[in-house]
Formats: sequence, C-alpha cells, structure tokens
Amino acid sequence: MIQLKNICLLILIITGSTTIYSQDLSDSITSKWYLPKYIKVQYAGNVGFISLGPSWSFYDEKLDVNFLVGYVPKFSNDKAIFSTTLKINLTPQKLTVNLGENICLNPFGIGLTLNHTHGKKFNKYGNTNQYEQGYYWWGVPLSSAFNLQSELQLKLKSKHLKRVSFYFEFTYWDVYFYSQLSKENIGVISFWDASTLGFGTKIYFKN
Amino acid sequence: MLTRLISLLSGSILLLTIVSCDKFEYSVFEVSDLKYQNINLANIERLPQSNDTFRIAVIGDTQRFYGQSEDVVDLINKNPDIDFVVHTGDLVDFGVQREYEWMHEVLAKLNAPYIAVIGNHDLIGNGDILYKEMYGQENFSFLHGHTKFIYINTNSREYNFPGDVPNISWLDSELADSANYKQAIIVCHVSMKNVDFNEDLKDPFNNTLSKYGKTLMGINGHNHGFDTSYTDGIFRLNSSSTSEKKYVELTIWEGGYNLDLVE
Repeated sequence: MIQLKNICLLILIITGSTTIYSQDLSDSITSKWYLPKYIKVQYAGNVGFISLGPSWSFYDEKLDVNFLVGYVPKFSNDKAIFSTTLKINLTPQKLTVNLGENICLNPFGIGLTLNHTHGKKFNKYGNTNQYEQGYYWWGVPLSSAFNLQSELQLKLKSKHLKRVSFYFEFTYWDVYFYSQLSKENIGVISFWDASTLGFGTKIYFKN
Repeated sequence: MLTRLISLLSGSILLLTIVSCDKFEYSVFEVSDLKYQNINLANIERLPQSNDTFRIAVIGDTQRFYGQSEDVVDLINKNPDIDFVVHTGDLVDFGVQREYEWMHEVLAKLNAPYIAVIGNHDLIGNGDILYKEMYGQENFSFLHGHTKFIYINTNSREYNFPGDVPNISWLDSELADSANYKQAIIVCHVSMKNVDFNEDLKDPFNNTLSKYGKTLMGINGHNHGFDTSYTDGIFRLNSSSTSEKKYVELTIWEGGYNLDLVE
C-alpha cells in the first residue's frame, strides 16, 4: 500500500533538492558568533513533517544548537500541528572519517531535543479551569528526547554555500519511554517499538 | 559527481523510509496511516450466537499496563465460554497513536471479540480522533440475544462539563425502543457517582436508566478496583483495572446475573 506519508516525502525530497541548488542565502552573513551558521531542514523525528530553522555552532562545531519550527499537515480528521523545537547536539570530531577531498562522515553524534507542541488541546496540565493541578501529571505540551545521529558532510563549490550535510537521526522520546518504565512491560514494548527516526539536511552559509 | 551522490543518498533514504515507514513520525500527537480501524464494529460482527444464558468478561483501564493486560488476556483465553469482552475504557494512558496500536495488539490476542467504551484518557490530545477512527462512534449499542448493550461516553470533565456528555436524549431513545430487547446493560467509563461526571446530569441520567424499567445493570471503569453497589435501585459494577491482573466473569440470563472475580 502506498502510504500518504511516502507521497508527501517524495514531494519533500524533490522540493528540498531544488532548494539546495537554488538558494541564495548568504550575501549578508558575516562570521559573528550570534549569526546562524547554517539552516537545518528535517523530515520527521517527531518535530514536524517538515521542520526548519537557524542553527549555531560552537567549539569548532563540536556543539550545535538548533532551533526548529515544525509543521505537520492535516492527514486525517485532525488539524495541522505546529511545534517549536530546541536541539543540542554534540559531535565528537575525533571520530570524523574523511572519505575524499570534499566529503567526510561524522558517524556518531548525540543530542537532546525539547519539543513544544502548540495548541490548548495538548496542554492538559496547564488547564486548571478544567482539571485539578496534576490530574494528568504528564499532560504538558513539552516532550523531550535523546537522539543519536550520523551525518555526511559535503564541501560545495557554490558561490554562496559552503557545505551541505545529510544526517540520519534515531530518537527516543519520553512519552514512549514511560511505556517501557514498568518491568511488566519488558518483552511487550521493545526499545525499537519506542523509538522514532528522522533525517534532514544542513545548509551552511559562506562566511 | 556531487549530483549523483545526492540523488543516490535521497534514493537510499527513500527506500529505507518505505521499508520501515511507521518509524518516521511527525509528532507524538499525530494521527496518520492508522493500522486498525472500526474495531468495535468489526468485533460486534464477530459476536457468536447468544444462548439464553451467556457469559462475558469485563476488563478496563488498561492504560500503560501492557504486560499485565497480556496476562489478563491469557487468563480470559483459558475460558472458552466467554462470548465477548467488555472494555470499560481508558484503553490508553496519553491518548497517542502508538499507545492505541500497542494496546490493540495486546487485546487482539483475545479469542473472544472485545468491545470498548471511550475513557477520559482515550480523549487526551488527539485521542478523541484516534478513538473515533480506530474504534468508531463514542455512543453505540448492540443486541446480544435478549440483552441490549448500550455504550455511552460519560467523560464529562474532558469536555469541561457541557450539557450533552453523557447524551441523555440519545440514551433515552436507545432505551425507549423497549419492544426490541428484554433488558439493557449500560456500559460507560466514568460512573455517575464520580466527580468527573457532570453533577447536573446525574439525576436525568439515573431517571432515564429507570424510566423504562429494563436496565439490568450499569458497568463502569475509571476507579481501578473491582466494586459493586446498588444506587437508586440499579446494580453497578466497577471493573477491575488489568493492572490488578483480574477480570470479572459475568453470567447473564433474562432477569438475572452472576459475577465472579477471576485472578
């Protein structure tokens, strides 16, 4: 069965690739630390069907901070979902493998994700008109996750863009982790059941 | 070379996505590509022919008790005389799609069909949409032999206590059809004795239950502990949560019933 998600993904990949070749982002960017180093565009990983936003790098790109705005279109009788995400990633550069003159692999990175889903419907905890405080103890619009990534970096000979990278991410969300907490659920809900995947691209500006 | 590499990468990622698609989630709260639909209706169609005396199992509040629920499923499956299983709501804890699918995969191992009423936890986030798409209508009824089972949404607090949860006029119309059934069993999640039930609707609800004189009993969940009582002349059964690894075996005949707590 061809799923709706896959059709959307195909559209995303086509439009995404076009964007990489046509974008002209960098003219006004200088190397001041507070200016974003790259734009991150991510597919899935529970932060949106598509999410994008500015990112900053510190300590020779060992530490990355991403800010993402995510959008999930209406797939069924639900409404579109908007969320904002803060991600902190650590990439140990000792592990970097050079695969060629213009290409390298960062096989392993770890990160933390904090996602806020917008909408009163998702904030049960804060809704004290309807519920006593703590009626639904977890009922907050915030979700947090632990993630692992692998990424391939490519140097570009473009006039405006320095590099582009593609990454793949494995994410483990608190909401699903709670289902694994009980020892009674061992063997029923596996680590793989409770995990999600995402991937994306980073588009680096020329300084 | 670069173009080729990029297309190769996109291609392999796309392939990978198709292979393991449900891992690519867009939001914890998403409702998309549901694996199971209309479970209640499909299970009602699976009901066996009813005898004058028949037996059902009552469970509820399965929430995140996956392991314990599996144990209860095994326990119920040891009894070949169960016609169907009543689930008194709170199928899930956080109202998210993955939980709904996980819990159905546990309950689908029941030999007998299970039919679930909507609970307050099932309504959290996009849970209202998930229940509707996976299970069906929130108010529905079916006949099993001489007994009419009426499932009704009583989770008033989830809607901030409007005047139509529970929907009394719908309940009245279901009971008013009294030529077509001998006795009625009302299945709901929040009992009318609970603070999460709309206080203003308690009397109208009770009056409707006794109005046609055919209500055999009310079955509810929410309180996580087996309990029975008589309120306003009607017998009430509070199911045990599967966390306690127990279920209620209910034997029903015209004008009477017997119950056993099985563990």
